[in-house]
Amino acid sequence: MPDFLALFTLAVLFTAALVYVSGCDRLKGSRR
Amino acid sequence: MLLNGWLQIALFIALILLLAKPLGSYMTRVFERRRTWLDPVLVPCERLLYRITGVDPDEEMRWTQYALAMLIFSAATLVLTYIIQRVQQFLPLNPQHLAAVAPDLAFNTAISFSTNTNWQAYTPETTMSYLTQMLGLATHNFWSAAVGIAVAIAFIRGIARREMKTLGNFWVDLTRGTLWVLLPISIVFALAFVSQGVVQNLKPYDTAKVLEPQHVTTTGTDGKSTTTVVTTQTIAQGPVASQEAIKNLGTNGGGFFNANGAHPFENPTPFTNLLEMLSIFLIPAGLTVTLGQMVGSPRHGWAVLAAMTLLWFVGVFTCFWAESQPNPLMHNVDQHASLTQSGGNMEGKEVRFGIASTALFATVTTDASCGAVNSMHDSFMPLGGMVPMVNIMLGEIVFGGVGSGMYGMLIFVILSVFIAGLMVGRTPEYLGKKIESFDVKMAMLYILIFPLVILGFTAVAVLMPNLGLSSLANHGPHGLSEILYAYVSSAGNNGSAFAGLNANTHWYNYSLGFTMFFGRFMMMIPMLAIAGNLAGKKIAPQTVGTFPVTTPLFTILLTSVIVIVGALTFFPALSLGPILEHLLLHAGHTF
Repeated sequence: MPDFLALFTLAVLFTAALVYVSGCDRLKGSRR
Repeated sequence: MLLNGWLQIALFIALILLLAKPLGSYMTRVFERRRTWLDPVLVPCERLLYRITGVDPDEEMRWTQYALAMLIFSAATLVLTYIIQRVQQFLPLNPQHLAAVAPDLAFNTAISFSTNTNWQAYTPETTMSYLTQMLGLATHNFWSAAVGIAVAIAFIRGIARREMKTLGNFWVDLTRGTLWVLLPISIVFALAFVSQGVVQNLKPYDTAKVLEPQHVTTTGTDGKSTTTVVTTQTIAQGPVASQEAIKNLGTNGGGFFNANGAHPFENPTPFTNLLEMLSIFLIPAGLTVTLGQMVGSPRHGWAVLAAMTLLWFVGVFTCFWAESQPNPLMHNVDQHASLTQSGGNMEGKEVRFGIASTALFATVTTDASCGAVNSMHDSFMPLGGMVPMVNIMLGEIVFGGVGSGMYGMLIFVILSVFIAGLMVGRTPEYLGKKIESFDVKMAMLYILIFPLVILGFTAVAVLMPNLGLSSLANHGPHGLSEILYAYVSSAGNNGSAFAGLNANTHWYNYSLGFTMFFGRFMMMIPMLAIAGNLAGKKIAPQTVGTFPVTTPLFTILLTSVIVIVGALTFFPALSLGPILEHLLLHAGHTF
């Protein structure tokens, strides 16, 4: 269970980072 | 503050300034894929790597693709390190038969090493096997440093290119940074360390018989005291020199031993101490020259290097001064510097380094996001200990981490140019590129994430006694400094610590893990977004109204912006920590 929790947390963090990339890109796109 | 100390400091910075140009020019050639003298050996290795991994080195990436590749690489290597730690008891090269690392500690350590932080909530020699140290941790010292350099080079390309949508190829930058820059320099430093007595072996730990048996009394959880007679001492061994070289060169900082650069097997002589400090600043200083050459304005690179040097000097002067002062509470002890003693505050410092080299190391390691230590920062005088903390709070841009220092500094350059533009009422331009609202929004995102995670998590730790305060050794303002330093160090990807805090708890392992992650990736992404946006812009011709970024005026403006942003953000927290502790020390209180 602790291994699952640690790996799940990592997956959430990297998914958040991907969403963040996409968010920044959209912010740039919306200006144009 | 003896003249001898100042001469050591002057020698150090003179060597850095001398080495910056040759290394910077070499890195320009490496990343522009021009010929270098190492090509006959390294080009075949590079081609082989691309063939195995299926990378097309000529493929160009948009900023989103570049960020995606960086995230995929970091995620894969991070998970690998987590797994190695969890199964190390089944793997070879574990002569001490060390058990698996606990899940929360493995989580923290995997993030720590992949984010170039090297925060260590454990004692390496009793926790990590040789295989884990080499395959799980030392590899990250190369990879995370190479990622930092790659991203900095992508940012520089963003400034240099015109009307292009791409920033280069992440895999090529990663490979070339590792093969051409980090690996050869590390080999040279590792050999120099071995020549000075740094150990490099895979032997089991030695056992030595102590000259005088020691009586050690411990109190158990049931309150009973037990006295043991200690007659032997375990002397840890290992492949130290190879890890020591990249630990400093890559501004990683994770020690092979718990005592880090204070351990005589890691840093045995004043000469190795000088080499270690040089290797910390070497690449960040060289990258300023690379910046100047790649954007076609060498003087801009020198102006940035001048700002870094100025901020470094203020830090080292303050730290050296603070640590040279006698402790006001020790009235009857001679604490003055003389030919026979260092004077000042020698608690937590190594006699072979003295006050000047310790203050210099502490400043250098926190200016850069290294975090290796040759002394215990927790034992510094309050204002002396504040210097490492402030250095990190400025954003790890005073030389800074390899790559991360450069792109962090460039964010402040953009902010400075923006402020200069506002002052004179013109559209700000940076080397011919107009700085527009998207660039400033992303720059502010970069700047705001840093204090947000630091102050947010520190507040939670301080307000939740069961989470943050239960593992704290000192209370009052010094206790706050210990907690604040932990989050500052993690967000800045530094990794040094005020060691009075036991951070190997569930709360600290997870919260500091989050802090390191946010301090690395959530700051890299808006920075890459700016780079992608800048690359697509046209170059506007220079006019009399263009703010020059090559002059002393620019250096002063840049330095002022960095100090003002740092002070506005962190002065309240500092005033409750080290500043209050300094005032109370002079009123007769210690913590």
